[in-house]
Amino acid sequence: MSRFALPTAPTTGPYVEQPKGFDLLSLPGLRRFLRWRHARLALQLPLLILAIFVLIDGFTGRQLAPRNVATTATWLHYRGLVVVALALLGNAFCAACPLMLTRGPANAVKRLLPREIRWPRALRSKWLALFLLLAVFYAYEAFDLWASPWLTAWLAVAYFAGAFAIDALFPAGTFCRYVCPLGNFNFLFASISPSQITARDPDVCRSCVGKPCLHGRETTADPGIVSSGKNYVALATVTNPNGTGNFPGCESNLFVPTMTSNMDCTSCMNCVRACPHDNVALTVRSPAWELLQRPWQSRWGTPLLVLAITMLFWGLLNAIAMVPAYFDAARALSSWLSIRNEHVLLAIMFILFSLLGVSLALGAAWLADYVAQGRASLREALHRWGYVFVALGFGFWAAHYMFHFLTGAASIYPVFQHFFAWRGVDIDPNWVIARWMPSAWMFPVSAGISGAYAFLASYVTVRIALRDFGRRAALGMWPMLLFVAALTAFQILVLAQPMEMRGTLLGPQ
Amino acid sequence: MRVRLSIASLTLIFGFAVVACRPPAEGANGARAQGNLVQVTWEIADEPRVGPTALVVHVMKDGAPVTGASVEVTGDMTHAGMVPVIANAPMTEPGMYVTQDFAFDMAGDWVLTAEIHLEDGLTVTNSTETTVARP
Repeated sequence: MSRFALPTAPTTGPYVEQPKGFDLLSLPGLRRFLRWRHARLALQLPLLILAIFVLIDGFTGRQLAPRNVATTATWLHYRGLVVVALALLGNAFCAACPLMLTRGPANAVKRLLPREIRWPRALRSKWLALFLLLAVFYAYEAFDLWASPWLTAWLAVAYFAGAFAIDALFPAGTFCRYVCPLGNFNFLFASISPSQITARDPDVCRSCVGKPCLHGRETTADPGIVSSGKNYVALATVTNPNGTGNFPGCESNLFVPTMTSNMDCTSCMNCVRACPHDNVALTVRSPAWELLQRPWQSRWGTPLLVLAITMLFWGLLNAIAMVPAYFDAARALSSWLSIRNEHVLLAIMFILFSLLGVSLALGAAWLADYVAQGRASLREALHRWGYVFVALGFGFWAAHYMFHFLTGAASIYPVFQHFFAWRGVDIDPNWVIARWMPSAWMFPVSAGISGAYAFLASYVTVRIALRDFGRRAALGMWPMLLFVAALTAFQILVLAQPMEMRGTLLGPQ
Repeated sequence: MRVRLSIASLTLIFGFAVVACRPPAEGANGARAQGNLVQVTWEIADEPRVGPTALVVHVMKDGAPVTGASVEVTGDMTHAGMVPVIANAPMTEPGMYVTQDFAFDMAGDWVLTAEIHLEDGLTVTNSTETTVARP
């Protein structure tokens, strides 16, 4: 699973097919910046400062979500900008993740331990990430995290504490790959991002001794002053040394010339800094590129594809939970089952919706295979068509998050004014500025985003059918195309509903 | 530098965690009164619905109706990013201030805050919560 096996095949040329677009690192100054030793810290500092504001206001500020930095920055701006970054660039928020600043203290604790503990084999899959994402989404609805600055701040503390504890006890990168719900959300949807780390010249990688992009390197002019003794690369042998010292490699065990996916790539750019030949590129690619490569067959496989389906339907549920029909359904379910406990009711709704979603998606995939081949297996269908759900799911998360972000993006200014006014500074927050986008634009914008990714999902469907079914592609693609069309229509119907923001499932009509 | 920064951040985070066993009391109910001799009561329809609404704020001081105060009522939804509804509430009779042009623009949970400036310079802020139904 996580250990990456180098392909045995070609001895010259590319190890695997990688995108061949424009190298973003050739933009003036970008390569130089990212090869700078403190580049990641420079990216993390703004989010660390924001996290500190989240904690201060969440714990000590006014407990009113639209007026508090914790809820506004977390549930509006962070989520909105995450999807913008994923759609237009890549996994930028993992690159700037302040949770990784716990690494220093975690390493200090690790040195006190007799030995590093291996992450349990049973947890080395994406099932845990799937479960934790479900837990976060459930908690979001059950405890109205969106309405509670205090709980939002506690969630931030839990993330920092989790990152610290996991990385103190287990190998570096364990938290990101196996645990972090935010990271795994980003990993999943970075598969539609228009950029990817690639090797500029695979033959340079082939002849590279020690593979520093993967294992890291220590480079000094004098071998006598090497501190670790591991992966020493003599300065004299390095084409482009990028200074001297220790350069960590990839904590996700990704080897640059074999990458066909953004999965598990935190965009930390360790590979860019560690490469002694300056041979790493950040290549522009089509948003559909990765979805057509079957990249997860050799890494993660089934749990990741199930995650893709569940994320699609949890995204839908996350939005449905804000429209009147959801409260009506909850009331009907409560009456039918004679259950008044809202947490139990919510759990039942999550289970029903997840089961219904997985059944519908797998049913469409199975039918597509059956129509095209006259036979089908659920596993094979999932591994063929699972990537379609990623595009569709991202479209809906993006539409929903952008709806909220555009509604109140400018509110961050009066919210910060309020932060200081609440603490005695003589400022009158200008709330009028928050209404910067006409509300009439919200539906067209969010429906447009949903439609655009439905188009991408349809394109991926057609290409997969043509790739796998040849002349029977025209038959095989229809069940999936109909699924994409039906779900998109449902998504747009949900987006067209009036919103209702309630902390109770069974309140007044 | 990175280690020091990390340790400082962690210290700050866990420091907050220690003092954050429960939400701030005054924030929990949304009220922040600066004058304890002033009594504020709200008069809201039993089942407020989306649309224009008259909110009534009764202001008393030492048991007597307050006249000549300046009252501004703000309605906030409980989701971040929602733009508040702000309206003035002029006095209609002694101690009674009624909002003009206030409308709930969405169903759901609302927090109503009255900011009251008395003629003697005292400022009082008082909040209440209500759930607004569909029109």
